Amino acid sequence: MSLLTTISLAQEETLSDWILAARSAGIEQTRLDEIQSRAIDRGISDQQLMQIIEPAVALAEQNLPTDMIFQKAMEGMAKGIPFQQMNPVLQNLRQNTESVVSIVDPWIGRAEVSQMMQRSGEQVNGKVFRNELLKAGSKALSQNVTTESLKHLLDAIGEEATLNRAKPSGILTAVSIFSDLPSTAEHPEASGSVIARALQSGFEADDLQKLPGAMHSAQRRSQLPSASVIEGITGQMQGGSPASQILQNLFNGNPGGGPPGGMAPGLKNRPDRGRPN
Amino acid sequence: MKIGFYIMALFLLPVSGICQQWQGLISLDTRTGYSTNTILNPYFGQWDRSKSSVYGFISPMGQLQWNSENYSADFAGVGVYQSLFDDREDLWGSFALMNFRRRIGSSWSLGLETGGSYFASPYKRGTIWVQPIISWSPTLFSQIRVRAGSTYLDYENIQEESGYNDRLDSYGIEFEVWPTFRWQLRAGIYGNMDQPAANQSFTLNADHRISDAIQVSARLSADRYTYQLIQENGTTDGPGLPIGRPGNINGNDPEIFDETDRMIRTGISGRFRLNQAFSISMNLDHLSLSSSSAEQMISDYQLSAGVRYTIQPKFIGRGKAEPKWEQNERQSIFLKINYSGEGQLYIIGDFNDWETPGIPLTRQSSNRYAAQLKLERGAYEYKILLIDKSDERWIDFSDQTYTVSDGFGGENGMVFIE
Repeated sequence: MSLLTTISLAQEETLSDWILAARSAGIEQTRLDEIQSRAIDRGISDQQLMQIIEPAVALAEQNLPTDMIFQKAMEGMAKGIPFQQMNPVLQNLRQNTESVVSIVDPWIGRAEVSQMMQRSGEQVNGKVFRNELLKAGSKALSQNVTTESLKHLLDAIGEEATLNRAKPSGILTAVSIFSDLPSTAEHPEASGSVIARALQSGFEADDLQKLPGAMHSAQRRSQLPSASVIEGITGQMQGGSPASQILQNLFNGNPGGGPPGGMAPGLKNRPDRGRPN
Repeated sequence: MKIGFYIMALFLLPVSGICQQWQGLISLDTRTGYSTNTILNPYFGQWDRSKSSVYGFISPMGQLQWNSENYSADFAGVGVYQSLFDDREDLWGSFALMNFRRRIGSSWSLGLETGGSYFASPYKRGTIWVQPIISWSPTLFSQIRVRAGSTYLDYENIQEESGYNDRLDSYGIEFEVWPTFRWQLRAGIYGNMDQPAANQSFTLNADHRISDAIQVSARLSADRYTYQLIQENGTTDGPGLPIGRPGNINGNDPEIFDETDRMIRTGISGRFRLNQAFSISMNLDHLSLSSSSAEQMISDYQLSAGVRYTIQPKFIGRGKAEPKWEQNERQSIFLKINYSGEGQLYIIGDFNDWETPGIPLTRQSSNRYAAQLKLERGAYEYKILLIDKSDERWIDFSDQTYTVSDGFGGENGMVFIE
């Protein structure tokens, strides 16, 4: 909790005071009206609503995006999540956003990243890209990814060879899927490298979205450890296989590529395989 | 009795698991070829070199693959009809295979392969086999499998009114390695457990994917069969005595000779994928048999070409939704959902600030729903809500849907709009 917000908490004692503080921090009135209306519908007390708004105010005061706090709060309300369960999630989001900004801002400030933004042809403005990257990074931290691992991922993505082929949408997706790869828990650096390699190999956002599911499928079907799956994907990428083929191989349980795996032996080439004559 | 025990044991194995996934494949193989020995024909598996002939076969196949965290299984069922374009009878039959595996460590798994077949033409041949398998991956992308089990064979020659049934206990040691992602090499040694040194088979297969569409394979197998010939006094039982074999000097007791046949089979094949559904293949096989009893070298070959049609049906659990997102240039997002069940579906998420009930989906067919959304670039989390009369509930996503944890103990679908 920032010093500014701590002072604010002590000073603002009513909901009206909090609404004013939020407005002063730059949060739109319509956003505040909407969440107030939803809170009333769900029977959330003023005191509880103040605590829901508080992390958003804290982020706004640091010029950090607040939308994900409001969206997560409204999601919780839509799903009927009790306040006691919702509040820690919101506080966690705030802390993660504060942590991730120290990694994201220096990274976005690199000249190569600016060049990538200009070159990509995607009309994404810098502020939107930063906010989306903070959002993705914050979610990754909430999925037990460490700040060190996230930094390594961004460093890997930030290499010239990767940025030359990557687009902003691909980078946002890359950060978003990071925590979902089956290898990230045990081998975060290897996961980061394989994502960077995927971007270098021409994987776009929709290909990357399929990567976690494909890797899970490959690991289950091939019965190989996650490190082996990563090595196989890397080998396929180095060999120049297109993204669609690599993903198909992974879904088939064939992390190294080659003929489909798991197929009943012999049905590929010799239908009469090995059966006693 | 033993077969019954094996089959019962098979179904008693635990098959529960979380995160289960199903995949299926249906294909239709057709092939036409020419062979000088029917043992080289696919499926025929019966030595008959009385005529050289053109043959053709058609074979539908269904395959089902299932996996969960520590278990996986393959099921395959194949039917076949094969015609020899001469006066010999046609072959028809079917076989089924099931492989079941359980992971017991990061590089070890236990498995069981079982199956049965029945083929009929001038003969009737039925088999059932059960083989436990241990697999070990000593390095990345290499695997050693050891298998051993029994095959029960029931054979009847209709024309000669003869037949037999037998049990064969066999073993196999297989090695598989991917030296690069385009190459797959396999080798295997197989033998008879009753007489491990007497009958042996060695196989070597190399598959090379030249491109996404073209794959070539080469195979070599060497078989060695040892058997005994019995010569009664003054007669021979079998194709004749080899040169240099000592005769029966006394002329009373039958003499027993150990004989050995050696067979080498080689083959190459190529497969070219025309599109997702159709592929064509060409195959060339050669066989040479050296028989000590017959004192001759036999050489046969077969050449064939075929077309395979394959479809991969989607498996979506009943009551689960699988969204498909399509985007046009004007940022109109078309959402299609495959869902089987009653009630009205809504989509709700970041794009509408999670306002219930959400955006209604229009029913297009019995299991297809759709909606059109206007979304800016970015990542969006969403859920599908089902309202059926007074009942409201969130619909689970299929295993193929990209989902993320919602932080509250559930999961949201996620889509990236470019």
